[in-house]
Amino acid sequence: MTERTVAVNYVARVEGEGALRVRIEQQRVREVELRIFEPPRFFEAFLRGRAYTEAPDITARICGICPVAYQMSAAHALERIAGIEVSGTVRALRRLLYAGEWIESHALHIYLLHLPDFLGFPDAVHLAERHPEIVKQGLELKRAGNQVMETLGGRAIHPINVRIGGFYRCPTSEEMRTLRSPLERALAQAEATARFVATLTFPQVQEDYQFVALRHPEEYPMNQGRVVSSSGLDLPVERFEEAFQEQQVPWSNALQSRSKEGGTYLVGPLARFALNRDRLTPRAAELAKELKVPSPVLNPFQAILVRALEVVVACEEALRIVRDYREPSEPFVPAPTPFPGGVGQAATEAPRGLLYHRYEVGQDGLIREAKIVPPTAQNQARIEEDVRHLVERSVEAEDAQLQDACERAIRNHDPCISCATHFLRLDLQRN
Amino acid sequence: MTERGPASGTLPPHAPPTAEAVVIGLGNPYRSDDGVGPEVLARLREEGGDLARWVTCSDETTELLQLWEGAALAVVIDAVLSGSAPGTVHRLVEGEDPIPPEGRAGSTHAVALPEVIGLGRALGQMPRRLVVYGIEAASFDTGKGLSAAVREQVPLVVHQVLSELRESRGGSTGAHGPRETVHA
Repeated sequence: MTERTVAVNYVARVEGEGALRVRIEQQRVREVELRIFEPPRFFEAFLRGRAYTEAPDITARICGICPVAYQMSAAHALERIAGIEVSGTVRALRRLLYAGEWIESHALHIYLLHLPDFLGFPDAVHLAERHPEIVKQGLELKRAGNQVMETLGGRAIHPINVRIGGFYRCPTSEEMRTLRSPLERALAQAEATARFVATLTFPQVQEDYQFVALRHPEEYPMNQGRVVSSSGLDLPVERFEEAFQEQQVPWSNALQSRSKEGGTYLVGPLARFALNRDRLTPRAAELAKELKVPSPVLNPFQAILVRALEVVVACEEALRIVRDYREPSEPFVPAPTPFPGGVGQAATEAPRGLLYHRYEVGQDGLIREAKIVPPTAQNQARIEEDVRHLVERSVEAEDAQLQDACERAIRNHDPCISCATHFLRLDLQRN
Repeated sequence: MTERGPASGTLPPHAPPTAEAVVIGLGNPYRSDDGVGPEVLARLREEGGDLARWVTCSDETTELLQLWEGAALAVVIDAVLSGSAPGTVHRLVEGEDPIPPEGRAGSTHAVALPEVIGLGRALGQMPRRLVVYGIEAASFDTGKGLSAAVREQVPLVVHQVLSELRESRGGSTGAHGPRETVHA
């Protein structure tokens, strides 16, 4: 036998569903294909002809785990067309909402999806049976994120309070005060989480990533910044498409992104951390130092540690905003009438990485064209490289072991296949 | 969830009926038949008044633990793929009927329902009684709207859930539908 195929028909604990096919010939890896199945352009088509004011709520439906990211990228892009800028307290509230989503999404991934890999359990249920206290802590941490989303977004899952220019209603000072103690507790739990995951045993792997993330003059990036890369790129967001392009590959419905030079790149926690370590909040910076987190982190398995540090960032930022809060006089900046129309782009940092939106809107306020580049579509080609390197290193392994290892390699990047499009299944072919 | 009851999860001894039962419609209305849970829930909300708390949940299924913890009765309505004819209604009582691992091919949820039930058991965060209504889906294609086979079953599921809630409240109207699998 000189050729074999290893198939993972469903990659468990990956949001959505997808498949991976790896073909090995003469002990050499010939093909690695990460397949993503959902018709990817559905939402872009669905947005055409809709009022620009509807985009934040419609795009929020693309993903149940990161609706805020979609709302924020949509709102910022459309505000650029409207010529309005959100500042002061309303801007801070947006950052608070985003922090809530980071806490929720990262806690879910760290505790329920990723941790079982490191502790030798097949899934979170087995982990919960043996170590209920660990899973309870994760769920409690996640709940603090939910509470922020409820207070600001109107509800935890698909927040309905975001609009172009700000919010429909801003929380009262009283409502914001109720977030303080859960967030203080969450910060302590987040620090404990980082210390705990730092003790895990990580497979010794180094990848040579090209990182891409936003960078803001003062903040760890969420809502705004320039697009920067580890190879020296530094562009305003409106020039994103000059540097990165999407291409169709036959095995996936998601478009794969590459830099204009043809290289793969990585967005997400590892990229943000590598390009913004000097923007960490004080306690996160101290923890990174205390835990001797390398700069940059090139071991994809250590993404769990970087996510934990980002939960600390999100909790610190959320607490700062809650403490400083004074109810603003207006919850939003109104858009000018008549609506000017035009083209607008924006990128924000979804939990899984940079999320780019571009809209073309007519003077009638109707969307003519929408383009959405989700983080998982950008990471897809780079995840395939991680898998290829892993299989090359462990080509002698039994199929079952190899399948398991491939799944882990994919989960490191927390792909959200239901936003990139959908789903995953794994197919390892050997001959 | 804005509809959530007391955060402690333990109900006061003489809780009103609204705090006793929770009905959850699970699914994504933009994925054809996956939207059957929210669709049934919308009808129940109109017809069921204060019989239960009515909640929809689209992806973040670990929320279920909080939503149902401590409730006397939780009813979850979800689309399923089991190989039965589209529109088949499965009624599963947790602890009495085996709840099979969800066919991942049809799941759009980050943590599948059987896994959430497993977590609830392991963490002691379960309702006193959990009933799952699974409606066999024909399609999970992107787009709004249920297939004909699934849409036809919506009134039956609404009727059954209402009977279930009235019975649990102690005032059965005798209009309970079939207890086990109902074929379309």
